[in-house]
Amino acid sequence: MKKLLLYTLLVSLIASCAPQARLSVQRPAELDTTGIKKIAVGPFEIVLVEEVQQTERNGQWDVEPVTLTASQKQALGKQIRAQVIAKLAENPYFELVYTDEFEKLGSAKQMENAIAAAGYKNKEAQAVISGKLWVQLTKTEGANPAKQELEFVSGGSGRDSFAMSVTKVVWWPYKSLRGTLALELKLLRTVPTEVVAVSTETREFSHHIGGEPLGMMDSISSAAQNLTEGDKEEDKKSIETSSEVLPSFEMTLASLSGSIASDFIRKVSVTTTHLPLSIATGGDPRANMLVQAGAYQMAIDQLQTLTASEPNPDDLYNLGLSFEAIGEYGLARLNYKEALKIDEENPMYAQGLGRIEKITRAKAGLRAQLHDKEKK
Amino acid sequence: MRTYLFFLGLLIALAGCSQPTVSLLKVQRPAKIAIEPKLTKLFLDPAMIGNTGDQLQLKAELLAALKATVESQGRFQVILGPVAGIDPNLEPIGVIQGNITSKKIEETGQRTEIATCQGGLSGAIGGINAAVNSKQGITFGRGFLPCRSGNDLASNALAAGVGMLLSLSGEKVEADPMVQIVRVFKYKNFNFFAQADFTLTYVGQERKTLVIRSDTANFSRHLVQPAVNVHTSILTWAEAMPLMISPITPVVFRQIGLVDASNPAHPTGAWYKHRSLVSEDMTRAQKRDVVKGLIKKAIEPFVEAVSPYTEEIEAQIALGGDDSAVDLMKKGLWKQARTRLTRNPKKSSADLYNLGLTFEAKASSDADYIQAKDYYQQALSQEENLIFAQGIGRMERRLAEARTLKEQNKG
Repeated sequence: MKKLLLYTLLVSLIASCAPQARLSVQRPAELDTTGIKKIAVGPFEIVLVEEVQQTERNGQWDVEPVTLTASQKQALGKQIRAQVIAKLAENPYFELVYTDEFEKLGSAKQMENAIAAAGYKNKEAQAVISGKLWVQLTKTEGANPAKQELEFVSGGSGRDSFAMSVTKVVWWPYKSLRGTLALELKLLRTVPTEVVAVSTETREFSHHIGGEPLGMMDSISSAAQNLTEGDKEEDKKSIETSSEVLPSFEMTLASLSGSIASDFIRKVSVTTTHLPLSIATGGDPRANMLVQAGAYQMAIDQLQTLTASEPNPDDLYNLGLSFEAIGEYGLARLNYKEALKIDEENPMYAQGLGRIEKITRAKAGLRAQLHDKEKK
Repeated sequence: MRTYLFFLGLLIALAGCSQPTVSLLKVQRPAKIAIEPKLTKLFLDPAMIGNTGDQLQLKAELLAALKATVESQGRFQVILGPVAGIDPNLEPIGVIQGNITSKKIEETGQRTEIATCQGGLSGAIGGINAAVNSKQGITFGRGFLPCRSGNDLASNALAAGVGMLLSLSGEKVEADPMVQIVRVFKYKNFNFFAQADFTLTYVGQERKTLVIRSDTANFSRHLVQPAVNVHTSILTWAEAMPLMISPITPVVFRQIGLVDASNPAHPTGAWYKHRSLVSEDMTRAQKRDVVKGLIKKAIEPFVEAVSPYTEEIEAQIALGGDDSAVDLMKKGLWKQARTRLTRNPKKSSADLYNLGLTFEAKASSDADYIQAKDYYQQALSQEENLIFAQGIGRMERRLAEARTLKEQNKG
């Protein structure tokens, strides 16, 4: 059993470093946004902001609410609005209409009324996104008393050595930040006036420093989490941050609202994801190298010439993979099929075909949506 | 023996799939939005940049950094001040407006932790590692045993590893003396935050907003003071005596005192209030560096949206060609390297690839990417090399991105 596990580990390690290609795959919008390409961003209202600071000393709690001024609330609304704009700007399937015409109306309700009653004269925007925000944050500072087993080993060997554990009551000071952010995003078509999509998403946030030591399993998972977070930070080339410091109110809101905005865009727009896929290694080494390097267009030119005279199944598969990488799913399917015809028992070829079938079947709307966006 | 062979094989397998080392090269990328080439002047009026929530008073420095960063790419001239002496109907201009928010939070506190104090070679090595790397200093348990924090994973792993090696080699037959203690330490946390909200408005025969951005940057650092022992795993006589007399004896006064020693709210545990954190504070120079970093990070996305920008990419410089050109490239002197390589009548595959790299590194338009791709293809036709193919792949991606961006900005 142990041997089997070791071999499985070895095989999976070697498989993980086999040559791979990173392909971009387009996913359709969850909601039908046909006819909408030009989008404006309207007002973002702060419905509720509650920040509380609670401090405990020897069982006595002191609760102090932190109030935000009207200008701070307005700045918060603008910050979240700009985050949604930034996410939309990164999406190539919508065109942003930069106008403050809708934002000036103050609230989403007033904006809806104005559009519905008077009709929308500006022909630029086909839809407007507006938002409402609820935020609750609680900062806590206290100390919990708890029993702690402390080990003692006298050392040495034989009779001279003994070990015992002593229980002590220890105070564990801690600080924590807990919060909830709810963001309602609404996509309103201007002509005819109708609500195309409404999404109310909630994100909970919790950060704890200090307190009692973690158990063995919690320590391992915390260490693993720190490692992953460390990698992420390195990827982003961020400036120094420490997990032993509670994040600021503004930073917390920025990251939570950014995550909700990304989800919303996934609902209303075509998005692109990246998949790591294996490359067949039995074909032409030069073409193989080109696919591995991501030079798909050049690989296609070479593989088309090669497979026309000598159809090697691995070359056909890699040709399919290159077509898949540039979004030519029909041609990709054709080549995967050809490869499978030559070697029916190769699971890699079948997986390629399955992937394309899945994309075209599940994404029937994708073509229509993309066609619609291109047409505008 | 078989286990060793297995792990040796595993290491070889992993080493086999490791990637060759690459250099980080600074290259220029085109702006993320397409802006009319006629627009070359951007006005940045401090009066149009709000700063009511700018606690760190970053405004002046941030605006100066924005001007310098945008101008360093050579695409725009940034004028600090109101629009004057220009007719936008004849020459279009860009106007940057916005708001700066910044904040600094400094807070102190006390923490409790478990530490292990161990004798023997393992304990000494773990203790030395903790003393060198931990900022909490080093304390000693009974019998002058060096202590290391329970959270110090590296020192604990090192001590355990040394212990295991000694046991395996048969050197170690006796258990090391060990006591666990509770320590408290004081800390100071720093949190700096900056937010830059900018809009760029095109003012010409028409007026339109080109970019709206709100970008944040955050810095945080946790500084600690040397720890102090407060509880130990050895019973003191004062604690042990009542237990020996009667096992049901209630907790004695001394023990209450010990318990309170880790309570930050109790007078016996409030030791930290009277200790200064000056030695663990951030210096003025460090704070200045942090502010500079925050400003750079907060303005970066706006600069990348409107202007060509510099990015670090992982790409290899090909060796085996003109060594002097390689030296120039390593120093970032791309134009000089390009001139030198172009003049070379007999270009090797490495020279052709490096020539392509000079176009990629200083790209200001798609034409440069096309030129770079062409040189990479010439290099690949001379010699089959993954590095050359990767260059082609990079250019294919860049050109595809540029097509998407054009589509997006077509309007």
